[in-house]
Amino acid sequence: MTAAPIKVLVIDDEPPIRKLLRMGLTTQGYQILEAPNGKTGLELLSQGPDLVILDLGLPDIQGHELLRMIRARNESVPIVVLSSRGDEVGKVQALDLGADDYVTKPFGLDELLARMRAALRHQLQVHGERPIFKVGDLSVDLVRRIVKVSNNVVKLSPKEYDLLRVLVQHAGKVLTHKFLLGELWDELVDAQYLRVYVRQLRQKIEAEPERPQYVLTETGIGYRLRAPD
Amino acid sequence: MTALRELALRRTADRVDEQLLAELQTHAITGPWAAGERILVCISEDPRAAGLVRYAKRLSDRLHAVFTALSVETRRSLRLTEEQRDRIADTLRLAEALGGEAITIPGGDRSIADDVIDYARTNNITQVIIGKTSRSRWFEILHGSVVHDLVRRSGNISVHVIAGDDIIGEPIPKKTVRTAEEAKPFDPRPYAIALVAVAIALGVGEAIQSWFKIENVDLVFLTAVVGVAVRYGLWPSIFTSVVASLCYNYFFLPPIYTFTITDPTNVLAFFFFIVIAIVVSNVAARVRTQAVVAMGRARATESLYAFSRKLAGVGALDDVLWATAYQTALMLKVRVVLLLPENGSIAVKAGYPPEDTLDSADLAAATWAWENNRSAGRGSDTLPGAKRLFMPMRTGRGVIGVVGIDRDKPGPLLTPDERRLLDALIDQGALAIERVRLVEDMDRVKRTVETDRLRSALLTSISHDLKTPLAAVLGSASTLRDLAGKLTEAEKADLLATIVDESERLNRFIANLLDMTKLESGAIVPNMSAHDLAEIVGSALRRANKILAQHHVELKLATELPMIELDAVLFEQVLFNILDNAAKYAPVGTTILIRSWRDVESVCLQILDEGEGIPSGDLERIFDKFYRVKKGDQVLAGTGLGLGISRGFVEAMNGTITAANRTDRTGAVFTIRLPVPAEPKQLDTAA
Repeated sequence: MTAAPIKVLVIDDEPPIRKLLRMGLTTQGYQILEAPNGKTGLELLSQGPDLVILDLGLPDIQGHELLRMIRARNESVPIVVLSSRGDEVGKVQALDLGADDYVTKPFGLDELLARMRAALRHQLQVHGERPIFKVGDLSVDLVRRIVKVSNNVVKLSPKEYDLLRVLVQHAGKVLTHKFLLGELWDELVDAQYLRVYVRQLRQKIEAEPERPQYVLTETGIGYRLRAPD
Repeated sequence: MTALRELALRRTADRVDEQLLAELQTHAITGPWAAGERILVCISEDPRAAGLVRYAKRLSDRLHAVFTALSVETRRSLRLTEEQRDRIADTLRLAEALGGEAITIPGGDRSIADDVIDYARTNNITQVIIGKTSRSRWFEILHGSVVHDLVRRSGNISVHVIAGDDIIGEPIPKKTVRTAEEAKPFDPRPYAIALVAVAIALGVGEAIQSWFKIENVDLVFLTAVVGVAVRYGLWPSIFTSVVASLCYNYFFLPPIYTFTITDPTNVLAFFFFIVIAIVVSNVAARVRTQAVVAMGRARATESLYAFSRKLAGVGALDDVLWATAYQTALMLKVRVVLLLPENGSIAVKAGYPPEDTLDSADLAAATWAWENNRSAGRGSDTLPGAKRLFMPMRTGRGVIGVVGIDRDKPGPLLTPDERRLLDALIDQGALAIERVRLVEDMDRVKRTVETDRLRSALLTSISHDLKTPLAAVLGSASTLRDLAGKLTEAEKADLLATIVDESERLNRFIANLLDMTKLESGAIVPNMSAHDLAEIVGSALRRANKILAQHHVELKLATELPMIELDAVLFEQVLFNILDNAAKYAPVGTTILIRSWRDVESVCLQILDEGEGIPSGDLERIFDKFYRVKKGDQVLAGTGLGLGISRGFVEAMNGTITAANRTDRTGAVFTIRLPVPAEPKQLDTAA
């Protein structure tokens, strides 16, 4: 991490939530910019935050519209959206519009911090992938294309390896069905293909495929590979 | 004492009867009245007939009896003017609107009184109402008096003869719609055929006379006259009579080939021939007319009956409207629109051929018809400039809508017969619409009751389940704030854990309430796609991780199960709710078993716990809203919503969920069954 503190822009209309985030994030060494509405949020964007936390239910600008506006001004800043339970469609839409991850309200601070770290890590790694990815017993060598579980080499089909590679490249981040299908096939393919390959991949790399520890299902949204330890 | 009790009972019975009657009458329902008194009211074209019907209605109310309005269609009926026919039809409709029955019977050859008495006897009528005649003594001597005949032959049936003037009541509004005269262009064909018939008769007569030497061939001509009369009616047959008599005279009565008659007996014979010919044609023609009328009525009755049967079968308002529009359009060959009230004005609800909007002139006419309960538009007195004719649809409770009709043909829209048929159709439609409305009203009332019950259960539940965790959170937080200095670190951690746990419980409860609300309002639309059951079990277990921390979970999932069509988010919630339930009711440290297998056309998923099981009387009720099984003397904290939501979700995904008790040991079993899609997609996964 660089010496300068990481700047986080929090756009949320509810004062208690902003207070909670201010207290919680400041203790973790983040610097906070607060915006009670979308308009202020857009203005504060010029101060160059390293990450944006965006509540989708704002009084002035519709959440997805604001997301689009932020992406139009800043293509690369990681965005984590705060969304309500049961709104899977809204979450997927936000992710497709360029949000990096989501947290469902009500949320624990630990969960939010994990999502922020994953989003920031990806941001830092874009230009140089780690040659060897490790999480738990799983290790993936992206250069030599070798996958090991507990030091035993696992043989994957090309498609299975591609799926794992995409997950590793975005480790810790949720990836929508649409995104994965677009990376591996094209978007017109049924999500069913993806489920079949995920099942096969789990059978090869998970100790208990029915209770996966690495490739996690985000029901109604997509998949997430557990972040490295 | 006994007498007193009997008196009280009778009074009570009377009261109940009264209330029932009032209820039925307000809705103009022909209800199941006792088979006691039955009233018959005789209807004629007399304007006072409406008064008779009202009198019958009052009498039937007093006697708690049914009443029937009877119109006898006799030869005389054919000579009635259109206005008089309209009046009879309207009077019959009035009887129906007042809750009575309306019957038209064809008259026999006997007097009307006989027809009435016959009908009364076969239908167990006990009272007959008839209007006092206003005809002269001479008319009665010549034609007889229905009233007198009726009284004389009525036997044990009471006859009420009602004086007219004071019972007129409100007159039925006069028709304001001009109707087309039934255009009957002169058809020369029957006359030509009549000539041919006479010519054949002439030939046959000549043949008979020359071969059999029979002088009197007038019967051959009479045959021709009767034949034409039966086939073509009065005027062609009279024409035949004249031609036949002239031929008979010219060719057969000496001196032949002249129109003079010398023999006086032949003059007499010729005179009788003419008389008989005309009488016979009259009789034959009348028989024919009656047959034609009867056939026409039978056809109309049949289609009306079919229509009413069709209407009785449909339950939705849209279907009733469509059927009415379609049937009217079909039977009268017109274009039809139906308008019903909406937000204070009226709007088009159905049409055949389909029509959505009206131009302003038509809308104005329709609105006028609606507001004034009178016809308006084309061919009427009001706003005749409109393209369509609009007529109110009435029931016993008032105007319920407006029907508009038009036709490409210029000039008046309908013949009087069509007009009466239209009235009948509109009445049927109006009654059907009202019936649907009443059913809807009843449903609404039922729903309101159900909603009230739910609301009170909800309030009880909220007051308990919402307040308990909130109290814990509030108590712990305020303790931490006020007593922070005096608490040990362990105590602080304990209070903090309570705050987190109780908040999560509160969150689950609110989520359940939201799910139930969505289910109740029908807002749940499953997003179905093929899924691997095991994957969703896995994600549900991950979500329930904390709840199940003190239980052991064992998985026995069949491999090679087909992909199942379901909504992953909903299904995960179903599993979560059942697991939550199991965790609550099964003792700490026991095992929760989840197993799945294929059963012919479905895939089964079972969750088995090792708790006390479910009391057998509660196996179905546990899926009811806010129902909670009592465990010992206490009810466990929970919403009583989880299982109800699970059932709602599973059923939305075309599956079933049932509860049972384990047979191998104590414990509950929840079985979810989901259909295997007809053709599971074969995926090429070798790539």
